[in-house]
Amino acid sequence: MTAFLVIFESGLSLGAMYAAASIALSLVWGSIGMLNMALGAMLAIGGYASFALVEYLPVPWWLGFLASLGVGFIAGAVLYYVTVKWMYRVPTFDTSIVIATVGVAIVIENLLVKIFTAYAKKQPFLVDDGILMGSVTMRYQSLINLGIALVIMLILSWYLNRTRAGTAILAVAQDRDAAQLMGVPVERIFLLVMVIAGVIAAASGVLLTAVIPMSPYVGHEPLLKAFIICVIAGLGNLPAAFVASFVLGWFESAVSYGAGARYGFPAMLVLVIIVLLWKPYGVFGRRRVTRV
Amino acid sequence: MATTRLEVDGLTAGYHGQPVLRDLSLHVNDGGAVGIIGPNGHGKTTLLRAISSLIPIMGGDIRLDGASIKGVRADRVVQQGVVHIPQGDLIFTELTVLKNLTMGAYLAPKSEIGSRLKGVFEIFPRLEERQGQMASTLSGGERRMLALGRGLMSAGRIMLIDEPSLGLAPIVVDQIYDVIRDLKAEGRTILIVEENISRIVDFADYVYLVDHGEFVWEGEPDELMRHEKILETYLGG
Amino acid sequence: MTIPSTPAHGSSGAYAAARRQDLRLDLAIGFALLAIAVIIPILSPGKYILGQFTLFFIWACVVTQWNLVFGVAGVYSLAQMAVFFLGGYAAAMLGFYLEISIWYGAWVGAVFAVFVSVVIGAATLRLQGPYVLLLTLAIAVVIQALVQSDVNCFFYEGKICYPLTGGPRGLMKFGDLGFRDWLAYKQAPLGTYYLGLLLLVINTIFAFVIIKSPFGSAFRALRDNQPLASSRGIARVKYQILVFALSGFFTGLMGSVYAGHFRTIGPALLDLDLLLFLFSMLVVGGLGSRWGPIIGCIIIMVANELMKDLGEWRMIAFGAITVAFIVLLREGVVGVIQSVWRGYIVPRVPWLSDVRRSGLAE
Repeated sequence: MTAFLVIFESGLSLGAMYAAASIALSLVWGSIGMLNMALGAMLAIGGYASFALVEYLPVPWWLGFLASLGVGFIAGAVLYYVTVKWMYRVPTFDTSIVIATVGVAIVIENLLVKIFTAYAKKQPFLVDDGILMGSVTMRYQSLINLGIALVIMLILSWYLNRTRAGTAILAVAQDRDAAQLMGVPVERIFLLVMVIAGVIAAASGVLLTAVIPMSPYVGHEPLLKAFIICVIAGLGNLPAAFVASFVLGWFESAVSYGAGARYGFPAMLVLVIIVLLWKPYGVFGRRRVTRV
Repeated sequence: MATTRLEVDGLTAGYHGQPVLRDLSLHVNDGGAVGIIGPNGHGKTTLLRAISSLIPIMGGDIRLDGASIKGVRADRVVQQGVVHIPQGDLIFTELTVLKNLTMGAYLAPKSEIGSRLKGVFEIFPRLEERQGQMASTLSGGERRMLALGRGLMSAGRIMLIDEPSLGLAPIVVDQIYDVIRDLKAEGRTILIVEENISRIVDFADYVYLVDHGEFVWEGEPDELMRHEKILETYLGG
Repeated sequence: MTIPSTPAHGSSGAYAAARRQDLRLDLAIGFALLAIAVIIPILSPGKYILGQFTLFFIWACVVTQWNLVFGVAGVYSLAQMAVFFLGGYAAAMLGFYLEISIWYGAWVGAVFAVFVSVVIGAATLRLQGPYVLLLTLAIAVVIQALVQSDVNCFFYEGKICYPLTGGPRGLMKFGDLGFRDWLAYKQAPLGTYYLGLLLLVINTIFAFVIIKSPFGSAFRALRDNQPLASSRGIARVKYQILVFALSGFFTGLMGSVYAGHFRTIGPALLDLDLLLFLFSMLVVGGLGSRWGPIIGCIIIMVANELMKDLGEWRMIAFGAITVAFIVLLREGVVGVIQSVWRGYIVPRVPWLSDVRRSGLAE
């Protein structure tokens, strides 16, 4: 019973940590066909923005959190103007953009090292307390993270399904040419997707750094895990990404508990390798339509 | 003499720097219906894609109401009243029928969407029945109706219609062509691509015969019907 | 009147002449670079510079092989350093545990690298672009994570605990290439220098032969138009496995040379920073081009040397250079040189344009 609770609690907090990041990754992949390797750096930007505002300006933690969303908005727009805008028409876009965003990530992370040093910082948006469940403490922070991830997911679903701009995003994702023929300005939609992803990434970065120590490279592991989650969910499938975050969180916790912490992450990687070999487009994924 | 709405002047266009169309010129008058006839794979679709700016123009010019649209973004061309109804399955398969239709009115004011929807449902009652369904569940004929209905939602005046009869049962084809004839009667300007001349002979004012990216014949459709030799050579009889 | 499906070639005679001229140009560039490389040690530039050149030879080989997979065959594999690492690690483990000389271990390592590379090549067959990147990156990361977290004691030396793989520190004391025993102490660095140079020459010739051979054309066809190439009967499976095997062999071999040269090998070789460092060579030089890897390697290593004291700015610059090249100059330096050569120099030099006028595709 204790084992179950330990795994349940730690898996839940891991899943809550990765859910928002996975949604941001999945959204950008699904609508632009872009594997955003700079997502890890964008998580770090969100975390540091909240930290810097609360630390250097006299603002409360919640204002720091909200302002970091604004910073994420700008980061998404900048990433669009530096890479996507110039590249999306190129036939090898899907692979070139991976390399371009790795380059951007390296630039951002090293700039963060320059500004904030590589030493770990403490996220002001942090709740230390927890609630005792049997012999296991469920941290409030995990529940807060879970709640915020859920809210992000619901707002995004509403936005995509119920608004004109959201429907346009879905239309562009399904058929870029057909959407253009309806008068949808594709570049504007791409920019919109990038800023939404930037805001979600910033929020996710704040939540993440409330749980693990904040360093400029804090986004590396979450990025890789978000990849794993999205591949298993099928890149572009948002609800599946949300669910898969928790499934994989529990998977990682179970492996760590049973076989030792060092096998948790490698087990996830092996899982994704198996999934890719078995289903090249993810478990719930569908082949992206290739146009000629 | 009617005014020219759409004018293609010495157009060369293609993919990856390779021309598919060479030096094509045509014009469509206001309220006119012009057909592009020719076998598949000879650049008919490429021509429509070039007119709606989905692919860049390599040479020549395209003018809408006298103004060049060379290098203008595709969504801006749509804003100028061009409706491109693409071939086959270019519908949003993961959206509902209703959302596909409202996407057609993306540029229209919100207040008009309701009445336009009503209009489309009157023409295609089948779409009304299926409005909540995912477009991916539609049959081939229904998809073509959806593509046409989506085009009608935009209320554009210049319609580019790409092979509306391709792969459909004759009875559905007749239905679709009835709609197109009505559009012409309403006074819309139509440029239609078709493999089979007999489908458009009764309403087209003028046709161009395309072969390997070039126009090899042009004239009145009745005249083309009488040229058995041309029909045999290019269209296999 | 028909539209030709391929750009018009001139007569086959002019084509062959242009090919011969390409070959002459390649040989001229090759011999000039080789002559410089042979002479450098005679100028006694000091141990540090020689060491950097040796490292250059190693990276140039690795990037050349990577170019075959990534640039020529168009399989976007990020597992290149994993293959390199495993080839070198196999040789190092044999040296460490069985005291087998690295000169023999290297061949075992290379064969092991071929095996690993073929498995990766087979695994990526069904995947499309970005999924290939993901899968190969995952493979590299899982190998690094497993070695890095290996802290269980496999044996003790005195009271010091050693994990099987050496853990985060990697392996040491597995012997070296032995130049110190054969040559005078001061001459020892020359041994690895010329060994590295020799291997780079062999690597380069091999890569050129591949690119210029029918295999190369098949790879290009596969890369540029997979459905068409498959429909023309080019068996993707066969060629992809072949390119992974061949490039795996040389890459694995270079891993052993690296291990022998530095007398240490560890999981830090699989760091993302190093991967990007090598990748920027590939991109800056020009993906898929013949001279791209060597030219890119020279540019990046010189830039690295110049920016050595800049700390984080060095990595920032590498990131920015990679972004700039991938966004603006996708053909790389070699591509720029080629356009200038074809567009500006050739038309103005009569004896060059006579041959070129026929329009050579490659």
